[in-house]
Amino acid sequence: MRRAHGCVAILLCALVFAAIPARPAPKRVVSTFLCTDEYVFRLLPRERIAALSFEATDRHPVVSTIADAARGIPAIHPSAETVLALHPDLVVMYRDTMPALHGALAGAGVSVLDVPWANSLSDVGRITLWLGGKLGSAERARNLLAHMDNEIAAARALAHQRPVRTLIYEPNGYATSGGVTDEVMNIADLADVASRLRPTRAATLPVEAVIANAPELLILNGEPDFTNSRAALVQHHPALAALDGRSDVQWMNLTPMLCPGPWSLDLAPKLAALGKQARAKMSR
Amino acid sequence: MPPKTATTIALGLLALGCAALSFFLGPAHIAPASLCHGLFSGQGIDAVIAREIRLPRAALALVVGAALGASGAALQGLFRNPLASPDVTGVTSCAGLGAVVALYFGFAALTPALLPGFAILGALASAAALFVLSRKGVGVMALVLAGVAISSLATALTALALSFAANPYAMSEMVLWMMGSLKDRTLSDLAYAAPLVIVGVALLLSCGRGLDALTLGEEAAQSLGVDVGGLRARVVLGVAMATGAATAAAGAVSFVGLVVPHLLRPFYGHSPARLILPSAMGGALLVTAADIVVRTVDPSEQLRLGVVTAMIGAPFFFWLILRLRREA
Repeated sequence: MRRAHGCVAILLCALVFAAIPARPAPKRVVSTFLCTDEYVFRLLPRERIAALSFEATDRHPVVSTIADAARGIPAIHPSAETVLALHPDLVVMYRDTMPALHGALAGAGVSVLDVPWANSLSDVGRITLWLGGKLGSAERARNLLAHMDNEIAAARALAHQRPVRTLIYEPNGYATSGGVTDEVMNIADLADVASRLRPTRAATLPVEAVIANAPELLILNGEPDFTNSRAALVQHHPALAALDGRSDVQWMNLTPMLCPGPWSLDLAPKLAALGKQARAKMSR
Repeated sequence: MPPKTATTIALGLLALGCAALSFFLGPAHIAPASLCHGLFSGQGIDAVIAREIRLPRAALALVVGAALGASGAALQGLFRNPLASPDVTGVTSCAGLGAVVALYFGFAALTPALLPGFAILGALASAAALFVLSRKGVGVMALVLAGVAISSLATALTALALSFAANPYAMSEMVLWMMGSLKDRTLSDLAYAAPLVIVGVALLLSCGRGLDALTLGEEAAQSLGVDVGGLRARVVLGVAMATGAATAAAGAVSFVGLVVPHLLRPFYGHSPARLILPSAMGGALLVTAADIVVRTVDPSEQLRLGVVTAMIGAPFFFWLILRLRREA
């Protein structure tokens, strides 16, 4: 008898939920931050994107992976006025960014979606599916993750030997470590040595520490021709020449790592190839 | 040996001692004997660290300090103003503006000489503006206020230039240009800065007797056979070369040029001729010691060189203003 009551209750609930109209997918979406731009551009057709942040298509410098592809989509410097002028039905923001804008939009009754930061690949998968659902683009979200899985498989096919001790060295001497970057490196059979070199509390490593602890592979993140700042000059320090024969030093643009997402895995096969090349050089 | 000469030699030796200590400090924890062996033998990783990283840093601290100390003493003599110094008069800020334009807009990539070149042009522009003002007979405080205005304008223009630079790190580097740093400097930084600073300081030293005569007033100096116009031009050029090259290499390291001559005046008197060389030595000592403090207190080097010198210099500046007010 109790079981019958339970079944009736479930049936009634299902009928009630079915009777509530599903929330329509947003038609005018604004993204206010580079890392949400990356998601929104990939999850929505162009006609449903009201605007992305200026960083998405900025060429001075290029900081997004969609700088070319997103051209033509309105780009804004996010403020309450610029966003409200677009009459969005959903604003996608990165959690804990632009609190004043967030408050102003909430006060104006605009729907805001806060996207959390991904600290692992499982976070990336979860956030992609969740956001895809919220934007009414579940199919695109699944496709993105399928592409990510393909990249992982491609990287793993290349990387099948012992991990290569690797340091990613960025302008200003920043030494990238942890989070999604480390996981992508692991997939490519690269062992991130940044934390072992005891970076400063600002996550930087002096050139001296890099030379004294020569990694097998040193990846300089950026463009080799770019020398127009003190930050970039660190990567051109003449003392790094001392790594000749001890490290394989390679330049690589790691823009897809800037915002962790399925696109970050596009780098995995390239990193695995670099690792393979470094392994071959170092074993000679 | 005269006591003044002995004091100058002691200052120089102290500065060299600090530079040696600075040379032995670093994140790689290499034994001093290994570093010295590397420095002279040129063999191994220790040699690279000694020659390419530690040596340029220690030597640049000496060079930058000497440039700022000597420039401060010469400017105080030229303007007959105890508050004059490269940073208070805006010379350092304008040199920084020149360096920023050269570096962030690609001129320095054409040829490295354009980095100090632009910095010297910036320093020349501000020094010349102050020079014109001083000729119009403005008072001590007016000259300082003009320097503050020039410095504020140069800082604002530096921020503007960095805002328009195609560089994601530009804004964060504002701190470097405003606070100064010797982190990860290279032999090529030393190679362009040292000769320009040496020539600049030599030019200032050659002006010593003229500046001494100028303390008696322009007419008296002219009656003593001093070409006052030529003297001013040489001082302005010397300050611009020394400060411009130092700022291009290290950013704006403040208050060295103000503090050092005042600290040394009790030992050398008010004669600019006697003060320029000791101020160079004292400046070298102060900047080298400050660079050691930066790395000892905060090995992550988020603490900037200019922060340490400003901690010493700013209270000193206040004290100086109060003293001048009392004397007036």
